[in-house]
Amino acid sequence: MGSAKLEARGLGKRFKTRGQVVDALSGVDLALGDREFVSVIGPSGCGKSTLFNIFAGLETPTSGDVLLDGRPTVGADLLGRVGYMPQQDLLMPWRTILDNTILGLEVGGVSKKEARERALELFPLFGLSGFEKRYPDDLSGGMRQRAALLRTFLAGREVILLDEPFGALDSLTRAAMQQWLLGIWEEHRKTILFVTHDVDEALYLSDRVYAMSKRPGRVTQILDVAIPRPRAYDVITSQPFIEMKQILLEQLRLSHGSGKAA
Amino acid sequence: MSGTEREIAVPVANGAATALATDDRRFTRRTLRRWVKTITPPLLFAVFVLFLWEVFVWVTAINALLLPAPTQIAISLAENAGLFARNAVITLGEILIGFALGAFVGIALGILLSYSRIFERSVYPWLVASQMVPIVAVAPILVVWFGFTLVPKVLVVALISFFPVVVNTVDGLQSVDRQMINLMRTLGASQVKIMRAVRIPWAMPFVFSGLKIAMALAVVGAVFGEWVGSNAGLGYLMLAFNNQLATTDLFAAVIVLSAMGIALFFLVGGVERLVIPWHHDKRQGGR
Repeated sequence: MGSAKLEARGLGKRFKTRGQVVDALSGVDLALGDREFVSVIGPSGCGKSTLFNIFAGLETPTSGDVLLDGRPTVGADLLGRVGYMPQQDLLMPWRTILDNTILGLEVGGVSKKEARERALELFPLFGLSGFEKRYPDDLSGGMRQRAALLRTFLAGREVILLDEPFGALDSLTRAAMQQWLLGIWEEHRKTILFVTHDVDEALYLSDRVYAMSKRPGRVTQILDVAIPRPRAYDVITSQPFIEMKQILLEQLRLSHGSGKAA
Repeated sequence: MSGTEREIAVPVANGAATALATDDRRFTRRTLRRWVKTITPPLLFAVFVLFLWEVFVWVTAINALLLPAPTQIAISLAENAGLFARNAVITLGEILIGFALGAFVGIALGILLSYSRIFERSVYPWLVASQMVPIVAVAPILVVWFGFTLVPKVLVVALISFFPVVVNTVDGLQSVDRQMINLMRTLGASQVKIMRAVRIPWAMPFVFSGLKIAMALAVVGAVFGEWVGSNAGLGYLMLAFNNQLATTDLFAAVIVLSAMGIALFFLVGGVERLVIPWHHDKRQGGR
């Protein structure tokens, strides 16, 4: 993939804790084309979060390279370059929802007034209208996630990492959020890397899915999701979808390997 | 809304923006009503206790040197209002200056302790140890050094009040969510920005807990400072009344002091509400 927006080449990460050596990632190759929606799926402990931390610039890989726009970029150089939404929404309880969402703009030096105006414009789209001046504690889990997403969107990065953003939501809210996210993405076309351990979610949302194995995390399968967009939610019951789902599930079962079923 | 991602970056002043112009009014009638609802029960209870006390004194005809009736105390308060006011101002000054000093030193030390490991490891144990030295023993030394001036009282107050502030500031700064700091880093925030946007607000509720305890202790400290050596102030007055067996006036002095202490404590609480309203709202039960 020549024109990759963000790419990992032979990425490895080794942790040493109390004399124990743990390989979290080993030889991971992964590429996100411009404006692609790519998911990473795998069992817990497959190093998904480590991968994200490396892409976000929070951790430095032990081996391999990260290429942003084709240029090798690692560690602190990536800070502030890639949008990152961690699993918890991390909304600040002392800021109103509006002021939480403008955090990225504020850090980027945009005046508060202008940042708020830009944010307010997107409040309806993110289903947050009427909650501008409320505090995070007033919001439901789904709304908090949308606020965190808006914060990530407004920071204005071209590449966005989403770490199981809907993991904590009930399945109905979750389905609604998936459709909503696709809608947003189809309008605004960011490059998104999405982590999940839900096979349906990964297939429904993505152009491509990377399946990863348990520790040490490595890519065991790359699956192109050839379902045309825009996708209605009922594609998840269509024949091609189910076939891909079987392939992925089989792969994930294999990569659970010697370990007992979790 | 349609179009490219550039859409996001286009600032448009729309109607929703004006909603911001109206600042929220925190002290509305609803707040007032809730406040009245909070203070009425304890107030009624106090009246009830005072009534029982009054009845007890009249029924048993107990010697006023042992236990004066509330009405007698009230009369003493009214008759000596000027005297109490003059001395209360002196004690109040000692408390406020000592508290300010203790709070400042406490917060500064707290920040230093949480930022320098060497400083923490070498100084923190001594800070704890310093609390084992009884102020009772230190106060007379301070009087020897500084005489019957304001200084020993202020120092006693500061010494007694800085400790809870240090401990809480350190706890607050050290408990900051690592993830929140990481999030700020991925947004490209500088250390200064992280300090201002995350660490300080995070630590604020802790600091205020420390300040409230400190204020309660400060009142005790000022009175104690006056007992050891002074010729004015509520503590001095109490000692004098005690020596004269003027029990009624002594009670009156205690009441003035208590009222002042309660007022000061609520003052800190009020400042807390202004500075970190979100925290207060949260404690009110999820609103």
